[in-house]
Amino acid sequence: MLNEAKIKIMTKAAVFEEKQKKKALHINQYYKFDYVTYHIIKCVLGATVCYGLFVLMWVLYDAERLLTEFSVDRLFQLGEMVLLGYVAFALLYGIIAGLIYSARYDQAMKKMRPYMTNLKRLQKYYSKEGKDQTL
Amino acid sequence: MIQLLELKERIKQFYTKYERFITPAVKFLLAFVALMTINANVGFMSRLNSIFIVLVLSLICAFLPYGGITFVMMAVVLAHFTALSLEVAVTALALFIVAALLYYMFLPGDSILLILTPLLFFLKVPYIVPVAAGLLCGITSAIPLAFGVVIYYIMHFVKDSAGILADTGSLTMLQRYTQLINFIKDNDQMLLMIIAFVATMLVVYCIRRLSVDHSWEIAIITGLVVNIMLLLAGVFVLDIDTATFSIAAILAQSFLSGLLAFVLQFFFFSVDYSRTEYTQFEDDEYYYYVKAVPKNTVTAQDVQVKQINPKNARGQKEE
Repeated sequence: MLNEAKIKIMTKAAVFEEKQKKKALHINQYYKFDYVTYHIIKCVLGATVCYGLFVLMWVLYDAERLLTEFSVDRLFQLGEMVLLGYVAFALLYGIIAGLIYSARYDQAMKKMRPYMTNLKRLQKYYSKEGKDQTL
Repeated sequence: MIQLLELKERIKQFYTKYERFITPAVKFLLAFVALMTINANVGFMSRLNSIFIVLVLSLICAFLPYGGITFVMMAVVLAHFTALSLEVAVTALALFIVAALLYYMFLPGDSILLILTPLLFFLKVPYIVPVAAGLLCGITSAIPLAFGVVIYYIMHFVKDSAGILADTGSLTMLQRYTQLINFIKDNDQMLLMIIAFVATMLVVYCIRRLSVDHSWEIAIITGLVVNIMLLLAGVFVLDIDTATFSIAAILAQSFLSGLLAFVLQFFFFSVDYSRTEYTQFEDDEYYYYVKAVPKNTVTAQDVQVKQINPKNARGQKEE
């Protein structure tokens, strides 16, 4: 015998799982701190590669001037500038990434609530069917 | 007005029913137009200019996600640049990698803006892009929007300077590279456009999210006004040559973009383009193969008009 109410709940849950497999369901596997920290580290690594590319492009662009003005002091000065620039850029990018992923986690948890409610209702159906069978 | 609502509902029903064919068709059309535009402007590799190759690539793009289409277009642009000058290709590749790293870190879905922005610049309706991004996308779409502007200006520079860049005799590799970087670094017009686009997108985004009546209409108009004002202010402050950056063109293109934005608003405001879902699951007794079809909230012909004849005491009802 088909239980239509149960099928409706199962369908809604299945459609949600299909749509949110890579989004809310994936995010739900993490605690908020772990999720945000992991993505901040990933973003800062990406920002590091970007900054490295920028520095490389700038060095190639200014190669002639750098070679004519080359000295150890100048090298240290430039190194300090590049390092400070990197720290500022990585910090800013990390903060923005933290805010975005934190908001994303909260949104995902909000989406999960109706799904969890449906799962609890399904659980009740299964418990009831289990009791009916033992009786 | 009711006819417009009925039309909107019919379009939604049509999309729900035929979504499996409409989405690939739209992607095919987008890829085809983008490839033809790229070939017309920076088509330095003659093999890629063949209509057969364009059709095959467009057909492949029809079945890729929008991120995949962006990747294919970037690859085509890089291939054309490689045919012209290795320095330009490597610089463009570095910029694409930077854009990808900065943007894809946020797992977004709006990378198509990297293609749409230069495409609509070439089609002379660029100002629809920040307005559409503000209406339909998230706040992180500011990044592909800005990089889309950069990509357009690089393509424009390469198109105009193709002769110099291709001539390996007159300039060294480093000099050609320096020329390109100088163009990007000193291009006030590009910087102004980036600022105007990002500001417009943010203004439209913030206003359309407000809980006020007609928020989308207010957002579109305010966004375009902000865009025009920023561009005009920038032209005077940065002393940009109006021969290359015409004020009349800004106004005309903004007006056209406004019209297109209102068309977008008609199609996308308060419309949930849910598609038919196919899913399967099982329990202890059965396997279920389910087709979930979204319900329509307004039936097209469900219109009742009540006319009260002032001469007659009774109301007459017509259907």
